[in-house]
Amino acid sequence: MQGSRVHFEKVTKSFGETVALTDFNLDIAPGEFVTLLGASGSGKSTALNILAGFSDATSGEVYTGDRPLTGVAPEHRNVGMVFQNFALFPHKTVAENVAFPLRMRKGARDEIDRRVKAALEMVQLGAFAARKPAALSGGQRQRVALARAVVFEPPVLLMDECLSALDLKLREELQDEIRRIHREIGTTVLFVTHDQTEALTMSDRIAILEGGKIVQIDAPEVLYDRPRTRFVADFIGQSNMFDLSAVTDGTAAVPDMGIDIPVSDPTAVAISIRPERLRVIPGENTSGLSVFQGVVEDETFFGPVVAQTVRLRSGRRLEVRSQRSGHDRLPHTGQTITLAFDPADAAPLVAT
Amino acid sequence: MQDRNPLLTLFYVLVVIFLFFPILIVVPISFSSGRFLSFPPEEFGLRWYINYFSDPVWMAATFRSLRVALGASILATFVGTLSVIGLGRKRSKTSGALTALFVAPAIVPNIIVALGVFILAVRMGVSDNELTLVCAHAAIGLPFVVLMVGSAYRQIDPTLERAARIMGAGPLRAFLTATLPPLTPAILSAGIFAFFVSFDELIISLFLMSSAETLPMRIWNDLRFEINPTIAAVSVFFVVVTTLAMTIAELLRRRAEKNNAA
Repeated sequence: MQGSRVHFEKVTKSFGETVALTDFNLDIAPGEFVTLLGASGSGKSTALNILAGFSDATSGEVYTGDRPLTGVAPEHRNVGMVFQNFALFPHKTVAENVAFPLRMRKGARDEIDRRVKAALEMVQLGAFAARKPAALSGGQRQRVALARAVVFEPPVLLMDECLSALDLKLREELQDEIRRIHREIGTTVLFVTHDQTEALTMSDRIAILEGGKIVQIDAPEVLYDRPRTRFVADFIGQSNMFDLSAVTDGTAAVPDMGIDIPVSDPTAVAISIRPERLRVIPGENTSGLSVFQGVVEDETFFGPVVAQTVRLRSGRRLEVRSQRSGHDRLPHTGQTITLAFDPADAAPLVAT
Repeated sequence: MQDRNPLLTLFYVLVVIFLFFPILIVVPISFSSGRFLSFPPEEFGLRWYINYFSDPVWMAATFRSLRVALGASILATFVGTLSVIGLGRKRSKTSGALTALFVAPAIVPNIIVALGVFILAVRMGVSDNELTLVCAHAAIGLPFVVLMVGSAYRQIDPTLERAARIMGAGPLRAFLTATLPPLTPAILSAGIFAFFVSFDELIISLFLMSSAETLPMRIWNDLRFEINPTIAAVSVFFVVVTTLAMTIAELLRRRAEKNNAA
């Protein structure tokens, strides 16, 4: 099966005075796995509900393939969906639940049976076909919901915070399983979550939503290494952010560090450096690096990694994460520490 | 095992006696073979049961009451369930006001409802008519349906219907698939409740009906003119049927609760 292209074109949605989505544009390639990541109220569920047909856009248009969806009822959109609370029919067996979308499409009986069986085997629940949802664990229920959402081979699959009701271990298992299923069936997936780890591990691309807008959309690695705004740098992972003086001739001062660094983006107003990109320098060979000093204020021992809070001369604090291998001489609390980073690891941030 | 306070046990026994004595006292009377209502009876027999079941007037009243109660219960259940769905899940000012309106017949004294219905029925020329009585009884059964079905409806996950829709079901099919099955036990037990609200209703029936008596009217009229143990036999029959039906309703409710908990 081939996934469809999904395209949000200048979609806005307001509930009375409240604006949930403004100028929302998103183009998802066929078969791509895109995650909408944002805090609650960022508009991510609104976007999903508009695509599902549970809610109408105030303006703009949504397409699957080349087909505009305004005015198309949910049952005619041919979209699969996995809900946060599973939404299994409690009075139907697992097999009946999975058969439901096929029965709505009026398939032949033995064909339905065959596909239900295949879908349940895909989620490793072949032995549970005759059970009622109440007799299953949370993880098993979510697997049934997943089988039910993909059994009719929809070209688009929506997932609404569908793992957040599960505990961590199950969540990780199901993340692997969803990725595997996505590879197998090749459908286009739009996944909604507020969990950044989930987004980073599963997606081809992540769209970060803030206040009903996409503030950045990129592959997970790019999003992590090159956040474009303070919001994104802060939302994904941990980050040290420092204001820059105006960039002139590709160079800007970092007043808190007392150094100048090369900055590629002339509109940058700050930089973001991930704690693991800072290196602790014993004192030699710093050519090509930006070097500055501070005092270790606090340290947390994680085993292979030590996290230290360093206070700079300006009073600003930053986080350093160091692998302990080869760093037996890490300065301890109260001692002066010399830090360096490759300016290429400092992501220039623009004002929003 | 926890220690029980003997005074508490005594209190409990007294409350049970207080509640059940009026119901149970008719049982021995109904099995008496004497000619008058007397307690305790001196001889026992089925004379008054035979009398009840062979008297065409008693039987006509009984079947009329069953008919009216069945009609009222079906009407109240149908209208009440649709009202619940119309009111929706979210509480708003309008839905609050409408709920109050639907529940009003349970709060307004029946005699006032009776007076209103009577005046209206006479104006419209539909008094002494079983259908009018069915409508009036449906109105006083409606509050129970709205409350019972309403509370069950609000416990049903609204995303179930969305799930049915996105999988290809139209709005009606989605309701029948996702919402109606978990709602059915509540609808049935509300229906049984509405049935008995009608079945033992006297005041509205007295106002509205004259030639065609319901069972409570027959009992009332019988008591006014002569006193014989047929009434006791009728009462016992009444209690047995009610207990059975209420037990069924309660079992249904519990099953629904168990399902919803899952």
